[in-house]
Amino acid sequence: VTKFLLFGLLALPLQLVAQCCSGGVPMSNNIGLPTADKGSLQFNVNYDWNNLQTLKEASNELVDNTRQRETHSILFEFGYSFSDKFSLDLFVPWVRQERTITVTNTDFDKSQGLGDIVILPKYSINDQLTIGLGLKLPTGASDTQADGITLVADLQPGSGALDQILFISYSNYLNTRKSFGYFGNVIFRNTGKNNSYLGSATYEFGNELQVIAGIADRFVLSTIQIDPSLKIRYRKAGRDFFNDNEFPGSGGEFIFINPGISVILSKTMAWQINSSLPVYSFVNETQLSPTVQINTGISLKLNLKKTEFKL
Amino acid sequence: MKKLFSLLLFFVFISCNEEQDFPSSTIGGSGTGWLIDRTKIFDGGPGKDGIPALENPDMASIGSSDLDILTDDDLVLVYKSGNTVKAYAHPILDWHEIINDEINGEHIAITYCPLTGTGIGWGREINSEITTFGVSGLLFETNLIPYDRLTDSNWSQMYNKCVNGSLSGRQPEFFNLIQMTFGALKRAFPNAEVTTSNTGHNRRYGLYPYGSYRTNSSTLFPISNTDDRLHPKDLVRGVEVNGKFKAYGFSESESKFVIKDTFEGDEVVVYGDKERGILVSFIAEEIDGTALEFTPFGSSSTDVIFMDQLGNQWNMFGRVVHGPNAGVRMEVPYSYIGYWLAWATFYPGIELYEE
Repeated sequence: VTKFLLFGLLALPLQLVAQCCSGGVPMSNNIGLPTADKGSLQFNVNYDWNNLQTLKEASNELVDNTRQRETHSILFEFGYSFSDKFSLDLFVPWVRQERTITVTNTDFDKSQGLGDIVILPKYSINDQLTIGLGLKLPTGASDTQADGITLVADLQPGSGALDQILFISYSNYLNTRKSFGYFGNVIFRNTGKNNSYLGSATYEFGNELQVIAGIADRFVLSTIQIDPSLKIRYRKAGRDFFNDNEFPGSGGEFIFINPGISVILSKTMAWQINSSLPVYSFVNETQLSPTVQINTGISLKLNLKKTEFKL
Repeated sequence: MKKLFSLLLFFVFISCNEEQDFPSSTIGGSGTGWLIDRTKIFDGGPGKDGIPALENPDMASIGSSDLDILTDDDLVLVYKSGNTVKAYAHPILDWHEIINDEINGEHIAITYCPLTGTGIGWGREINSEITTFGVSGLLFETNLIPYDRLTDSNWSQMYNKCVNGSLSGRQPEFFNLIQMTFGALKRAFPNAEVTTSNTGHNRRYGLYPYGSYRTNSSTLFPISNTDDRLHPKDLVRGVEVNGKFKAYGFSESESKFVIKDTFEGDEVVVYGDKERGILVSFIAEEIDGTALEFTPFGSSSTDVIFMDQLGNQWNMFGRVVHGPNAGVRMEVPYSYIGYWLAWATFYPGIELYEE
């Protein structure tokens, strides 16, 4: 039962979304696959839609329905367990950033392309605790233009910077009800600097800390196994820096509630959908802040040594 | 299982597919040709009209509670038409950048760029039609690029001309604005009308949106040239004579001053009052063959700023309001106030008046 539950959790994205408060670079979204048995190959593909249209000054909502930022992402994640202790995750995002302003006419701008790839080696200290140290590589474009004019940093598919990532994951279950799992994650991203922003300037997104705690359980409806889950996510983003000076209108603190559901389709496949709903936001100065995020996708797990993968 | 794969493919499709329900990108304006270096034009972030320009703003008389958000140190841009004095407050302009207004039949756009500190009045009549200006969301050398809603052409504020679109090369009519503190406005123009926070937009007008930008030495977007003769955020007035600019700053030694300076063959008169935030310029005139010499006027409870040796009192709009030559005016050259960083990058090596 526990093994299946963990596979269900596999389908629940651990948010590592580097969107700055007014849009931004979706560096990764599902990072942190659960550690699996030696020789296991895991694959996730998710679609993620992040909508920002809530204008805020500090924690106060300002009535303004003219602006909207959307990020559509397709997120591919591969994980391979070299042993019961060591595993490696590779995260490859494809990103589309959109900005829409509707006053009398509609102004629309977008960029799209490969985002920043994340490589995350992980080590399982025991069955509950896993740590990882990874890198986010500047593979996404950070100089995308529209009509020959370079778009602002948080409208780019990539950040143009090499970031360091610390990942800590804990998961366990109740002895009295083994299908009931609880888990937590801490993800810290120490951002690097884009040294060729808008030509010769530098830009650095703020460091980011996320702390996630959640629960999940398993229910069987007829022959379908369903894992509902609920997470609470705290995210703190530091201010961005332009040429080493603080960039106003960046950074903030957020708390989200993430309800989700995962359907176990077979020993090797699960489908999940979850949303992220802000319950508290505090932004520096005035910014668009997250309104709603939806993420859905499929997870596959193949044990190469046992070759039990079947579709 | 097939349904799930179909669902996934659907998501992939809607993300990968080129947009079909969206309009094409409009960031670049109405035309492809620019009169300025396109590689130095940047997207400011909020997008076109993401910073909403105002039209026919709500105004209140001094003393009204609608002006409670303003402090005496807040800066305002003042325009006088006949006996009407209107003041456009920086705390409003910081959020809207352009105010389209009408004053005694004059259609004027107050254009203000918070990143260069430049406030310039433009006429809104184009091709015999009255239009309004909006904020394009683009910046050139970190300076505002307004667009007109008649032709969707883009204009450079500091170059004072249309730089993209069907009106390329066209210059707007110049309206002289005088910048001063709200405290100075109250004393000099107690009957002035001032923009209120009743804009129809939900903003925190008492809060400056750019953090420490007004006082630090940084920019938010790249500029091509810097000049360390002054602090980047020092306010100076650039004065154009015969196509060339010269910059005049506040005096280091005197709170009030009047200078006469020969530039490009003209006698430029500059008055500054650091406490009141006033820095104005004129082209000196002779009266009956007499070259005038000026001394600062003592009182600040009037619009008079200096006197001449003939006993004339001149106001900040360049007109004799008391004295033997009442009614005489000095020419106001094309000039405006801005941060030193803006003058340094728009006009590299610009001549700077030094005491």
